Order: sequence, then C-alpha cells, then structure tokens
Amino acid sequence: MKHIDLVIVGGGPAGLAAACQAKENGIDNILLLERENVLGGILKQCIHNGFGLQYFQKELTGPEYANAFIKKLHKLKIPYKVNTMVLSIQPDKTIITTSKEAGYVVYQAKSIILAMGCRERPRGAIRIPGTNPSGVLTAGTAQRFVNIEGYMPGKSCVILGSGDIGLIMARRLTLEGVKVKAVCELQSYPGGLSRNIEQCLIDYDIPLMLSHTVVAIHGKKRVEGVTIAKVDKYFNIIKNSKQEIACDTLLLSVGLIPENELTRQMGIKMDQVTSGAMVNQTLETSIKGVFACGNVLHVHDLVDYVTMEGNRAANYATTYLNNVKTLINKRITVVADKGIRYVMPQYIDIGNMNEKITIYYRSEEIYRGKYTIIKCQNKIISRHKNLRLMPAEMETISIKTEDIFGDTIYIGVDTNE
Amino acid sequence: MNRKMTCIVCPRGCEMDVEYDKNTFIGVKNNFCSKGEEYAKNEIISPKRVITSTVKVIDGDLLVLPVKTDKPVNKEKIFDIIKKIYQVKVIAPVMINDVLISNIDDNGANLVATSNTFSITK
Repeated sequence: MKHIDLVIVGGGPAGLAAACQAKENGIDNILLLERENVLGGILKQCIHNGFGLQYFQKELTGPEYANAFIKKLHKLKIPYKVNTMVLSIQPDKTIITTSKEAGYVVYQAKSIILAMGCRERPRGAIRIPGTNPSGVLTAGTAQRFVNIEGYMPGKSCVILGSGDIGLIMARRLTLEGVKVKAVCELQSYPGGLSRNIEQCLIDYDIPLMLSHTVVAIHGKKRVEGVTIAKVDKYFNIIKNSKQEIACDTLLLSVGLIPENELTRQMGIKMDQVTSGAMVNQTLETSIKGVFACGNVLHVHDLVDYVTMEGNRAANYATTYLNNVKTLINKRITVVADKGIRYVMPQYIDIGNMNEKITIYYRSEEIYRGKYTIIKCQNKIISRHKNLRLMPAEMETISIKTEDIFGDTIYIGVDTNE
Repeated sequence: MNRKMTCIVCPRGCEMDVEYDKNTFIGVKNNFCSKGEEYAKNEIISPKRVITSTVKVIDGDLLVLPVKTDKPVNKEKIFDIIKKIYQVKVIAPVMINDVLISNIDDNGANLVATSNTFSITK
C-alpha cells in the first residue's frame, strides 16, 4: 500500500485547481487520479468561449482554460495518473483503484479532496412516454460527439430543457448545419444564463418555448418526431395544446447530478437537495480530512467558481495536513428558508476567532428587487438587496460568525418588500 | 427609440435599457460596468461575436481540433466564416494559439487553435 498525503479524485477543473494550490501551499506528496485518458474533464468538449472572465480576467474557451491548469500542473511536477478508476474509498481513507497499466493499486491517504464533477440527467430520470428509438441523447453527449469525436448526431432536432449545455448545443448544431426547431422548457423561466439565451437562441432565431414539454417521442428505429405541449403552473398538460414537430434527434438538457457514488459508499452525510456532501465552511465533509469541491459538491454555473472552490478545498486540506488545531465551540446548522432552494455550506463551525463566512445559495424562483435575509431565532442579522435572483444563477451572502446566536441560521428571501 | 438588451460580456448578464436612433447609439442604463456600454454601442452600430468551432485533424491525437476567431467578427459574416472553417484540415502537430487562417473575416481576425494536438506517427 502506498502512502500519500493528499489524494485528489478527479482531473477536471476542480481537481486541477486543488492539486496546483495544494502544491503551492507546500504539500509535496500529492496524487491526482483521473479515469479518462487525459486531464481537463468536461472543459475539453466545451469549445465555446466565455470561460475565465472572473478568474483570469480574460475570455477563454474550455480547452484553453483546462490547458492553463494542465500546464501549471506539469510545471509544478504534480504526480497524476490517468486511465485510473477509483473503485471505492473506505472511511479510513484507503483508496482502491484499478488501471490497465498498473492493475489493482491501493493507496492510503491522509487527506482526500473529492472532485468527481457531475453528470447529466438522462431520459430515464424524466420519464418521457413513447418509443425508444435512437436519436435521443443528452446535450452533453451530443457535445462530445460533435466537438471531440467529430460526427453529427442528426439533421434536425428539438431540445428539451434550457440548461446552459442545451443552449450552447442549440448554437453549435445550428452552425454545423442542423435545423434546431425549438428549445422547450417546462418551467416558466429559462434554466440557463441570460447571456446564453441571447447569444445562442436569439442570435439564431431559435424559438424558446417556456412552459412547454415533450409528451411523446415518435419513431421506431430512429426518432421521427416529438409531440410537445404547453403546461400550466402545476405542470399539468393543457388540453388542445399538443403539437407535433418532425425531427430526427431529441437532445435533453434537463439538469445535472453530482457524481457521488464514491462519497455515498464512504458513508459521508449527503444533502438531499444538492445531491452533494454536506460540508462546513472549510468544505470538509462528515469524515474528517475529506473535502469536496466543484460540481461534485453542488452544481456551479461557472467554471471560475469551481476553480476558486478547488483552491479553497486545497487550502483547508493543507491546514488539516499541517495539523493546525482549530478549536470548535459549536456547530451551527444553515437552513434554506422561504424562497431558497439550497445553501452551501450546510454547517458553520464556530471557534474563538471571528470569521467572515460566505454562504452560496440558489433561489427557488425569479425575484426582482428583493432582499436576501439571514435570521437567527426570528431576528434578522443580515440582509442583502438583489436586483434579481434566478434559480439559474448562484448567489452569495456573507455573515460574520460573531453575529450568529442560537444554533441555526435561516437564509431566506424577504418576499414582502 | 429604446430597447432592452441582455449584455453577453460576462455571466452577470445585465438587462440594459438602450436608447438609440437607427444605427446611432444614444445611451444606456442599468449596465453594471463600462463593458456593458461598449457592448450596447457595438450592438447598435455593428454587432460582433467570437466564433468557435472545430476543424479536421490529420495524423493527430485529436480527431477534431477546437478553434476560435481571436477577435469578435461581424455577426452577419458568421455563416460565411463557418463555411471557410469547414474547409480547413490541419496536419498535427498544432499548438494552442497557432494561426490556421489569418484575416478570416477580412477585418483582422485570425482563426486560431484553442488546443494542442500531437502527431501520432512522428
């Protein structure tokens, strides 16, 4: 068994950032594990621009963003293994891996950073009735086909869901000569960023049909068309609103799920809403010395934020490895209150030092000009005005630990004003 | 005249109110930063976008190579430029930022590689 101070699981943006930051913090005995044959994660297939504006203050494409970190990893001489699958992690931080090159290898880690990312919700998760022909695929799979494997998924297509990947693929396929007939969104508001609605749909006159869903898929061998229908606010199908659209491809962009099989297997406490681990403000899970960052913790809108979270996870793992004793007096639970879908971190551990904590959250619906408030025992201790809150956009609010009293804080939207 | 405009410069996506007269930009409100003003002005006078796509690779470890225009190009030229990109075949190795077609829009923008691809035979 090989002993490693810090093992990072996943070589996407979160893992790459964590590895580089940990090394720069003076941790030398690092190992990064990646199951694919190259580093970079999903960035490799995100060939569009718009990455890095926050972190690098310049606009990069996905491969360029990944390359910046891969170069840094090589420069820092950080050990990594590709084509290596982590089969399981024990609560004592034993990591069982397998690869074609080295076979079955077990590592004993002192600290672990989980950075496995997320995957797309497939057709099975949304139960669309109809036949099961070829031509139904997730937007990310189509993105991989076009941008990495170099072939087209079809000639005319309908996209269900207005997540960012779906919007990006609507533009990409249009540029490659595919007729994108419609993007249907079940909710009454778009799932992706406003800028992507603008530059991917409006620029190319692709209709965005809000409060619409696909109710049937037609075709035996290959998709021949879909039936779409309008829904009311309870998502019931409105009678006589059905219409058929002929197409040979249906892309699904209906949400992302953090890939937490390893995390669950370890017995780490999970958040039912984020589908990620529950963590404190140091991104530490319910197992000491095991940290989580990036899309495996909660799905982010921007890779820049994933990178920053990777850096933070590395800093806290460094503190843990350096045996810096932190005194904890009590644990506060952070609760998503009215109008808020989820919060991260789920816990705040308070010691003797005053600390400024940033809480990340997403709203349940669109609010304009409303305040986000933090309450302790029914008293408002912090408020922050928002021009707009959208479920598609992650927001932050800060709080000082000295202002917290009681053992629970509630983050909510003040819907009265 | 007035119109609403979503700024695409950054993920904040400001919903701006733009005042204009045909192709003359008059002013903008509700933009968070000066980039919004610049974007709004360009959108009225001559809208521009960066194009990203892929090109075929011969003898490379990648099957297709991601590319971009190194500057935003005129929106109405997008499909002409895409047609030019279809024709491109590169022979590996190609390094990130290598210019594949210079002045692809006749206005100073180059088509550049956004990834490395190495030769599989050499």
